This record gives sequence, structure tokens and C-alpha cells, in this order.
Amino acid sequence: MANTIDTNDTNDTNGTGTTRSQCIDQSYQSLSEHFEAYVDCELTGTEFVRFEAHLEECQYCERQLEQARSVAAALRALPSVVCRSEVVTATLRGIGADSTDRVLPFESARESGMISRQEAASGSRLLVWARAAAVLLAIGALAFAGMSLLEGPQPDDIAAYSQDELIRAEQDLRLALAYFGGLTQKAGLVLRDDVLAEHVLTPPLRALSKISNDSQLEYGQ
Amino acid sequence: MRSRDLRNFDEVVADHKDMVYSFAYYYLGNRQEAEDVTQDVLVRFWRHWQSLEAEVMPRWLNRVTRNRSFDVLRSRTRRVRVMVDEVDETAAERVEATEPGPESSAAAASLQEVIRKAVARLPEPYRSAVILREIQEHSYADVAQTLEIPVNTVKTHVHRGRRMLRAALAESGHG
Repeated sequence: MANTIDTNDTNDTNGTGTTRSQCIDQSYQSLSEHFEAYVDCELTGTEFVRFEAHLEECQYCERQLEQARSVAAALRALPSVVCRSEVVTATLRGIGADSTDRVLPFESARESGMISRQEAASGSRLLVWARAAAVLLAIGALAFAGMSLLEGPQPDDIAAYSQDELIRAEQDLRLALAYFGGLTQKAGLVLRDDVLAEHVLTPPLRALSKISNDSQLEYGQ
Repeated sequence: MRSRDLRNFDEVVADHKDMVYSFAYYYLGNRQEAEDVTQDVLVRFWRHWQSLEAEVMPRWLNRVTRNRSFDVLRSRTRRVRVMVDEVDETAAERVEATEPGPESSAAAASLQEVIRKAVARLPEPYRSAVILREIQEHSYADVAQTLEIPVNTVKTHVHRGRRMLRAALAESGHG
């Protein structure tokens, strides 16, 4: 990353143009590891004694130690930042976890900026799949019902249906399929009407028609 | 979901939202991005919170916040956005007001501003270690668990991070 602090210690100055070479100890590099540990009281006994002895003699390292203390103090003194309550409220409302129990659709939440676009997209996808699953289940149930009709009506059953009932059943079936067609579109499924008609609508209609004809024959007898 | 659970979630969020926001704010050095990260983390928290034990929640939140903040940083780099060290003029509105004392002098404020910006420029893993340990004051053990590294490594990262800040402070003339 371009805008990060250089991890090398080669530019280690004290702001006045003096460099680490002014430390009286030739092994400065190893000492430079000690300032922060010294401030945190984490040096071992031997290191502590050696480091303090060095500080007595080296003004440069004494200044470095003061800087180390300043950094530690400044970090601890950084203000506690608080999150705006609106941010939390909007988020809770967006995910339906606020105390009002109000669950917003993901699309609405996204439009109002309550949740991020990625989350909304993820939520939308979940909704689509849930709807699609519901529609497929409903179509499956309908097809199963149609197949039952296709198995062929028993003579006793035929007699049980009046002509009006059969016409009403056909109308109900068409309405139900139109409703499922609309649902599939809302679910984002691209199921063509002719495909629906061929595999879902036609078989039960054919069965109904057969029942109707048989029924007419029976009534005509 | 039962309303009792919703109230519990509200309370847990109230307890931890500032910790999440604070990490993102100091990590990214940008209020708007920190708010976005906070929202994102809370949405993820909502999905998982019932499967989380209470004692691991802070660690989980810290880890997810750090990961999300890192993602934001990475996408920022991908967009080759010119990074401007913005002077957050309204930061005072987001900062808990404290009575002005000797430390609140202009010099101290200036030093804090230099430190805040320098923290947001620290390379990883030093940045996360410094924020978690030095700013948010988590224990070494907690930081180690959050970052999934040994405690001694955390100490090394914290010390090196502070050493880099010391150098940055000297460069800025605050030495």
C-alpha cells in the first residue's frame, strides 16, 4: 500500500536532523526494540538493567524514550468515538430487528439506504429462491392433481359430477394456473405460457374434457 | 422471532456498536466508511448472533469488523483512489465530549490528530494490533484470540507498530 508508514527504521530521526548514529551504543538496532517494552515494563531483569545503564549515558536514547512514552500516552488518550444512533437504528430497521418488529422488504431497505447494496442483493436472491420454491411446489401439487384426473375417472365418480360443476372446475383451474403464471414471473422465473400450458394446463383440461364427455354420454343414456 | 429475542439483540448491539465503529474508524480513518462497515457487521451479526455464545461475541465482532475494514481498504486500493488525508472537521460531533483539561490544549489535540492519521497508515498486522490493544484496550489474550496469533506475537506487533508511530511522530516534528 502506497500510503502506509515505512516499516524500515532507516529514517529514524528525532525531528531535529539527528540520526540514530548519534546513539553511543553501536548495537542501537537491538536497543531500538527495547523502548516500547521498557515503557510497558516488559523487559527482563537483565535487559532492564542494561537498558537503564545505557539511558544514563545516552541523551539520544533518552529522547527516544520520551517519544515512546508520548506515543503510548497519545494512543491511550485518543477519544472514544461513538457510532451515530441513526446508523444503528436504520440498520436494525432494515433487517427487521428493531423493537417495532417491522420487517422491510430488502428492496425497500436498499432504496432507503438502510442496508448495503450487497446485502440487499443477497436478500433479494433469497426471496427469489423462496418464491421460486413455493411456485414449483404449487405447480407440482397441481400436476399431481392433474395426473390423478388422468388416471381416468371411475364410472361412479363420473356420475357424481354435474355439467355445471365440471365447467366451474375448468374455470377454477384456468384461474389457478394464471395465478401461478403471475407468481413465476414475480419470482423471476422465465416460464413461457406455452410451456406452462403444454405441461401443466393441458393434461388436467384433457382429463376434465374426458370426464365431461363421458358424463354427457352417461347422462344421455 | 420472539420479541424477547429482538430486545436482546437490541441490547447486545447497544453494548458493542461503538466498539465496532471505533475499530473501523481508527482503521480506515474515515467516518463514512466506518459507518458502512458498522452497518455491514451488524447485518452479519444479526444472521449469526443466535448461534454465538455471549462470551465470544466481542471477539467475533472484532474479527468480522477487522475483516470488513480490510476489505474496504483493499477495494479502496483497487479503485486506485487518491487517498487524501482528510481533516475530519466534524469529528468532534462523533467524539464523546470531555471537559477541556490540560491535555486538551491545542498541542495535545494536534498530537492526537497526527497519531490518529499515523495509525490509519500503519501496515498490517501492526495496525490491527495497535488499535485493539492500545486504543480499545483489549487484553493481550483477547487480541491474540481475535487475530489468531500467539500472545507474544501480539506484543511484538504492538511494539513495532508503536515504534513506527514514534518515527512518524518525529517526522511530523512532534518528536
